[in-house]
Amino acid sequence: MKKIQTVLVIDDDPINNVICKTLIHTLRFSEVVYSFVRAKEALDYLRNATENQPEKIPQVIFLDVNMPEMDGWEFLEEYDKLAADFKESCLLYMLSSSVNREDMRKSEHYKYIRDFIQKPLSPVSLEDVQGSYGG
Amino acid sequence: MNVEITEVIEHTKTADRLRKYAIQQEILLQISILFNSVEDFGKRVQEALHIVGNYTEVSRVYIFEDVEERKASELIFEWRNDYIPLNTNSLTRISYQTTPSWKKFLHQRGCIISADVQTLPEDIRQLMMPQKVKSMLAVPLFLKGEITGFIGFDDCEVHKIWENTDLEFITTMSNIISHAFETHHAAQTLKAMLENQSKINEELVRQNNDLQQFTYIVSHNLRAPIANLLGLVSLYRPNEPQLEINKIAMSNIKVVSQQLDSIVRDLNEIVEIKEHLIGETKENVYLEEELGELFNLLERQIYFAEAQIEVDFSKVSHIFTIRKYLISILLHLLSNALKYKHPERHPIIRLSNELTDNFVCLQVSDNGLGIDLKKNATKIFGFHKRFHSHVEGKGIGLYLVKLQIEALGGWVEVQSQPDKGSVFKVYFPR
Repeated sequence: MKKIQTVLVIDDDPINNVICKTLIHTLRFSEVVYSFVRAKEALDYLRNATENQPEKIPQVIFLDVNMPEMDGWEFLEEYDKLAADFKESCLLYMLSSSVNREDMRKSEHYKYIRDFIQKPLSPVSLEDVQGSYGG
Repeated sequence: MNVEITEVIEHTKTADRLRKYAIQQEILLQISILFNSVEDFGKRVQEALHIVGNYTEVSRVYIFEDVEERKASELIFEWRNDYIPLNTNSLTRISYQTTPSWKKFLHQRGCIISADVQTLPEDIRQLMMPQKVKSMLAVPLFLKGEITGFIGFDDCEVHKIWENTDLEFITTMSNIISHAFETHHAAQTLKAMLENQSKINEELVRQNNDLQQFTYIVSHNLRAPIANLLGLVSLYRPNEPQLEINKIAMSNIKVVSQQLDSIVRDLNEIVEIKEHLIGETKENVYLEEELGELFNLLERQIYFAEAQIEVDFSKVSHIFTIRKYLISILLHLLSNALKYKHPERHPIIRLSNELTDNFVCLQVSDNGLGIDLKKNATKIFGFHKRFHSHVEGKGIGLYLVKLQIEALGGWVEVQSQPDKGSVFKVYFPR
C-alpha cells in the first residue's frame, strides 16, 4: 500500500477542518494535514511547494465549493496554471455540504476533480481515496 | 295649371324628403364608421355628438348614464353649440326619485319629445326651465337589452319641431351608440380581466421564485452545520471517555448547535418580513430622529473604528414608510460600512437622500474595503454570502436590506470599487 504523505483541506469553515484533520489523524490516513480557511493561501502554498519544496507537495486535496473571497471554482481556475506533472499525480476532491445536483454536475466539467464528496468526510470516503491512490 | 303646381310642389317636397333622408343616412354611416373601433372611446363619442349636434342645429347634445342601481342618471358626455349661454349651470345629474316622469317616459313611450317643454309634466319642466330649454328630445340607451341611460337634445333658441323622420334617425343613432357602448364595456371588461390575469401570473412567478430561492437557502445553509454535526458525532468515542478527540467533538458540537440555531432564527426573520408587512402600518419616519438612536446602538463600533459620519437629510426630512424596516435597513448598511472599513484609513460614512419622481433615494456611502462587483454582482444581496473572511459576519445583512426594501415596493442598488469604497442607494416609494 502506497502511503499518503500530505493532505490539504481548503475550507472557510474551521469546524469542517477540525473534523477532517481529526479523522485523518485517527485513521492514520496521511502523515501531515494542512488546512486553509482561505483558498488564496492554499494556492500560495501549492505554488511554493511545486516550485521550490517538492517534499511539501500534497498527494490529496479536499476543496470546499462555497467560500468568500475566492471560492472553489475560482481556486480551480488558478490551480489549472500549476505544473502539469503535479496535477496529474495529485488527487483533488470537491468536499461540499451541498446536496444540490447542479453543484455536483458542475464538478464533472473539471478535468482535475476526482470526485464530489458530500460532507462530512467519512472513513468510507477516505478508504475510497486510498484505493484511488494505490491501495 | 293648378294641378301642375300642386304636382311640382309635391315633387319638390318628395325631393326634399329624399335629400334629408340621404343626409341622415350619410350621418349614420359616418357614426357607424366612427365606432368601427372602440379605441379612444371617449373621443369617438364626443365626435359623434359633434356630428349630430351640428346637423340637428340644437344647443346641446348629451349622454347620461344610470348610476346607483338606476335611481339616478349622471352626465358622461356633452356637446354644446357656440351660442349656448355659458352662464347656464349645466345639468349633470337627474334623480329619478324627484323626476319620476323622466324614467317613465323613456320606458313607456321610448322617448321624451316636445317642441315646448312647458307642455311636459311638472317634474321634467322644473328640471328643464332653469336650463332655459325651449324644446327637447331624449331617447334611451341600452346595454344588454336594458335601459341604462339616454341621449338627449336640448334647444334653447327655438321651439324645434321634431318630425317622425327625425325621431327615427335619432333612434337609429342611439342604437348605434348603444351598441358601441356595449362593445366598449366588453372591451374594458376583457382588458381588466387580462390585466388582472397578468398581475396574478406575475405574482405567482415572483412567489415561485421566492420559494425556490428560499428552498435553496434552506438546503444550502442548513446542510453545512448538519454535515458538521454528523461529522463530529461520528468522531465521538463513547467507550473511551478520556480521549482528547471526545473533548474536541463535544466543544465543536456545541458551537455548531449554536450556529444552527442562529441560522434558523435568521430564516425565521426572513419569513416574518413577508408576514409582518400585512400587519405593519406606514408612518412618517423622521430620519434625523431615528439616526440618533442608531448611533447609540452602534456607539462602540463607531468609537473603535474612529469613524466620521456626515449626515445631510436637508432634501427630505422624513419618509412615509414602515419604521421598523427603515431602521433595520439603515442599521445594516451603517454597521456594514463600519465593519468592512479599510485597514489603512478611518471610515468616512456619508448619509444623504434625494427625491426622484416616485421615490426617496436614501444613500449610504463609505471609503471602506469595497467589493469587486464584476465578480460578485449577483451574489452581493444573497443570503449567507460573504465577501471578506477576516471579520465576523453571517452574510444576512444585505439580504435583509433587499428583502425589506422590496417588501416596501422599492429596490436597492450598489456601486463599489475594491479598495475605494461602496455606495448603497435604497429607493423608498413615496
